[in-house]
Amino acid sequence: MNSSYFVLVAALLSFATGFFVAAIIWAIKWALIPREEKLMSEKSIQFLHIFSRQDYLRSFSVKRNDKVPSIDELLNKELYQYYHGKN
Amino acid sequence: MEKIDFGTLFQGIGTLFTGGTAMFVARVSLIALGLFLVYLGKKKILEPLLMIPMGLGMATINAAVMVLPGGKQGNLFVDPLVTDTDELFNILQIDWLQPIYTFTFSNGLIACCIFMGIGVLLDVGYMLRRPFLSIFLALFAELGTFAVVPIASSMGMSLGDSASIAMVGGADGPMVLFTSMILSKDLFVPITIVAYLYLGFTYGGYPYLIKLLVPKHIRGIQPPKPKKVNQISSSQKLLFSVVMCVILCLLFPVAAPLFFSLFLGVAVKEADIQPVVDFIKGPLLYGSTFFLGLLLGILCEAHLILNPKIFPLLLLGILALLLSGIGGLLGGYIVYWFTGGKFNPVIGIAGVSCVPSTAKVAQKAVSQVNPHAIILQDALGANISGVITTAIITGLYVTLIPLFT
Repeated sequence: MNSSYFVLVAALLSFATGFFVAAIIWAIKWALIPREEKLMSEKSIQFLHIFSRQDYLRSFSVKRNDKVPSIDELLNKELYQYYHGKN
Repeated sequence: MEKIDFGTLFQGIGTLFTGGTAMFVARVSLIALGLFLVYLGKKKILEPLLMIPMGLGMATINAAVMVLPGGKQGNLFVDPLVTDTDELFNILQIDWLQPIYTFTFSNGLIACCIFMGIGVLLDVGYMLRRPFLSIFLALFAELGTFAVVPIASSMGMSLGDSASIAMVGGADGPMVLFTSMILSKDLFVPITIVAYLYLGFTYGGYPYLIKLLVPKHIRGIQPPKPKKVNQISSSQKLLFSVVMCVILCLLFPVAAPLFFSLFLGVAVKEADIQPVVDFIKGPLLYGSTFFLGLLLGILCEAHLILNPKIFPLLLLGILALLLSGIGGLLGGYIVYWFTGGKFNPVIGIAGVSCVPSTAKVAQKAVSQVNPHAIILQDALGANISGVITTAIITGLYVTLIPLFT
């Protein structure tokens, strides 16, 4: 009984503290976003608002070149090779 | 000339036959186990940096038993049970490893040095990318750390001993050492040894657990790329480490040495103080791990396995790691269902904080089914969060248990 109650309290406090940590991380990320990026994101919202109509989007659409990997894909590949290669 | 018998001349062999059958079997078994650990270390099945000094230490301490003045059997390595300061002062001048044990091991310094090294090796950027997801998975991967406490208590263990053995579920050696030294002073040696021996289970057993619990078609899922990838700057990482260190130390002062050591490592790295980074991740980390392994091996004397509590500890340790793996996959499944089948639940097992082993295990399991699926970024995020959540649980256990007993 005592140990079950202890575990319940510990688990609840762990989840609360864990999500508190996550919230702080999110706040730090938000606080340290470069100013230009913040401004740009506001502009991009306005931009999206103006061009949210499908016909506008279609007229501006460009064919995507799937063969060119993005920075994220290259980073993934590098990480994969680093860790996979070590094992 | 006085007659010298064989047992007096070769005391290591002589004491084998004068301590009773149980002691004979225990000593011979531990010598064999020590040599087997050296073999496993050499074959890289278990971590050689830890296993070679541990295995050789274990074999040696059980071979080098001699008759001390007063007729008592012992060795010239270390006496972990001495508490009286006068006696300790004498032993410090006789047992050659006693200074290292007293000044680095029994006060937790060695665990903190290793934690500093882990801090330097961690790239918290992976965790900062998706903090809520990473922490969520890591918390589920602590299932063993929670569930084993009532199981151990029901087997007659004290709450402190139960919490210490349950910490094995966190798969973080220094954390188990730190918790058990505070909460389970009589059992901290076997608990820490069980923890370090079982960390190899994450490599050997978790791939089977993944295959058992995650069907092939789900295992190969490539998680969708985030709509926007924010690069995490070193300033963000530094600020994170400083803020987290202060907040967690405010919450759990008892575990402050651990938090401080971890975040100091992160801060030094992100502040780019290269000579200190090189020192911590080189001589300090390797030296501390070597001496930790050596001392753990040396502390494995025969009377240790004759303790009736050892067998339950062996069972509970493996159960804690098994449950944590299951908990991690459960967390992964919850995200999988929540995202409508777009998330790979295998990532969840990386929440078990054996950095970076479990992340690598998760990536390997996914690659076997779908070689193009890359989950390593999310897996490392969960993995690093696992270190933070295990530290939080350590702080909670160490703070809460005195209030419950």
